Amino acid sequence: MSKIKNANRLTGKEVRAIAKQNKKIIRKLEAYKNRKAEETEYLGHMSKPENILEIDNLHTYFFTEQGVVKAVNGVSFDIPKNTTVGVVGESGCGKSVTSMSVMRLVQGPTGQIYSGSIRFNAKLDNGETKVYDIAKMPMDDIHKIRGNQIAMIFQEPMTSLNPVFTIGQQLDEVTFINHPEATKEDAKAKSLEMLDLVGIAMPERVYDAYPHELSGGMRQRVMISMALASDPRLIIADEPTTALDVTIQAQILDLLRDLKTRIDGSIMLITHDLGIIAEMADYVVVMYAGRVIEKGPVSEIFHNPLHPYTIGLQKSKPTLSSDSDTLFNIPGNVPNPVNMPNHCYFKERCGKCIGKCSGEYPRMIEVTPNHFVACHLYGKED
Amino acid sequence: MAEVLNNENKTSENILEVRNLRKCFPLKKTMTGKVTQELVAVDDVSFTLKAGETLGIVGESGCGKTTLGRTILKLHKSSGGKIIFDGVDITDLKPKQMREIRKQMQIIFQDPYSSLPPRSTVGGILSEPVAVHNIVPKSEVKDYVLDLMEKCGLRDYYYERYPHEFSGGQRQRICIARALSVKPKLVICDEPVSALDVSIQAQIINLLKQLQKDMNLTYVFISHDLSVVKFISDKIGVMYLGSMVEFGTKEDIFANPLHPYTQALFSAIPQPDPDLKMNRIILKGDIPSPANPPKGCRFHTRCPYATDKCKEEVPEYRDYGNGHFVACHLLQK
Repeated sequence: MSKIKNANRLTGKEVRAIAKQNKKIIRKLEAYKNRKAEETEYLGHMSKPENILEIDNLHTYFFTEQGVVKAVNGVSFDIPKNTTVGVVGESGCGKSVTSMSVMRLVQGPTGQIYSGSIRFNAKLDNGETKVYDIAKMPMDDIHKIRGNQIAMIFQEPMTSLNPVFTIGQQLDEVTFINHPEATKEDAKAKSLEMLDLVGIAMPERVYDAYPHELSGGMRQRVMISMALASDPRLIIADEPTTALDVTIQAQILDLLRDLKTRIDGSIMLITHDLGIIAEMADYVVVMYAGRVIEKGPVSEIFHNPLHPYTIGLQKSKPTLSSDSDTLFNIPGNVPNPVNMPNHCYFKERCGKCIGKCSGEYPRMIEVTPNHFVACHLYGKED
Repeated sequence: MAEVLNNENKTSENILEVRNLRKCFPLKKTMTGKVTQELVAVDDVSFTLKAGETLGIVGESGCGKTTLGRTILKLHKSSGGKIIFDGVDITDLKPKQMREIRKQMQIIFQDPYSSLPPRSTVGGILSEPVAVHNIVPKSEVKDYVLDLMEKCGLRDYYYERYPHEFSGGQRQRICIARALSVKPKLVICDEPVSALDVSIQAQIINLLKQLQKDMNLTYVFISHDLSVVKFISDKIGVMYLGSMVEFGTKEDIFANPLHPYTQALFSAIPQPDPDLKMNRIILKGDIPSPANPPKGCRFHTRCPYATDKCKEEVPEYRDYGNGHFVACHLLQK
């Protein structure tokens, strides 16, 4: 038995050097975030007019004492109109940070959008559409989009409702913010309508209830109704059913599917459960260690997965229909987020490595129409 | 030990037998300490388990599956019924008598982040139970622990590291090694993989299966994830609001689920196949509060087939052939 120096441990000197460096960058990024800017400064163009959201080479970093954690490291994908895009990956792969970046909710000053663009096709009240680049918007202007054009359903319905206000007060607030001229009666009528829409049996009673009086499934329904109250064009659902039981989860998924057809919007569904993805999504984005490694239509991802990680992920999940004796497992762990290697991040855990894998990080290749993969196995021979 | 051995129960192959086990928690007490309202967390649960088998217990949150596991280990004092472990009735044993038995039954907890002491090293965590229970002579403890660590997929230089230096999967390996360090016969796994990622989950499940084969362990595997339970179990018990509604071999339960709750539970799981269109049974409403459970069959408030009889009478828990127990009025015609 030998004692091996722990490579993750930093000396005080190193920590201070990192802190000094971080301070410099954070100050610059914070100033950019809090600047005053004309609208023209952050207007952009969609590359495809049918898209509602385009994330283009997004980098969101966390400047920690251990070093820079590249939580989102060059993520690009599109969300077309009227589709559900599923983002799947294990914990720490950056799927939640991507959604937080879209909402500009990344916790500063440590967390910062470092570069890239998030173009959103916003529909204004007077009917005209404008393309905003969310990543470049100053924080003062973000209210144009956040909450009314893009709504979010959080994972933990227990903690995302305010315990000291009734459900009614919290729902009415949404209407008052979007329509300041609305009267109390209007707001209540709208709130009751929303509660009814999400399948709450006694909206009047829930309207006057406090969050602690409701069960987990009911609270999640309230959260969904709150997200819908502002008629959003895009709903981001960040693990909406993870905290719920299976029978309640089935109810909520059923509701979400039903709503998508009714509200005429798109859903970005973030989850770690491949079953939910298969059932809900039209298009799937698979993330690993802060990067998109594969994206494609749902039938392609499940019937013709290309990246070894996607294949492994699907094989390692026991299903009700399979009868094998041992589970396939991907060896090892996700690499340390501070010191990411220069080659493919999955190389150490991959069973299909070729010589090229030690080289630079693989580029995204379109293998079949609309099905992209970042893996050297599928590159052109050259 | 001899006086607690009840020879009648010494059926050699059954390692664990639970008869009409009940666990109540007091909710309200009068000033004199008399309980006026109680929560029945586990109600009249019976099953037997053979050595080397795995029993999977599934159910939604609040159905009493964790309480059942802990009551079997006597971490909670049972309120009624009998627990017979390896031929010995342990229900009323005194703490001193339990000591000998404790090392034969161990538990792996759900959350590997909070179930390891942060201030002792991995070596310390693993050697302590070995030393306390005199598993091996003092001079051999370290070698024994290192050997155990290797079996559980931990490298030998982890011996001097602290729990915070490890990822969730590695910590769960430490928890498994700790549970196995005293050579138990029965291990209760209380949601051992639900805090882990899918790819790590597969590693831990394979490890548990391998260790079971090597050490002839018996598992009680508590989980809410049916696909994991199906993978690891030989027998499955489905719980709802404190009582066992269905119990049987894995093949019986999955090929032929009889209780309406089991059927709904199975159909509610999303399957990773986009072409699969399932006839989903969506249950209405939420689970009733266990402090105030409905009269009659506890499932009748959500059951699509409920009749008047279900609202009045508690269904009998009966064997429908081949050890397939179900508690439902629909089948009793």
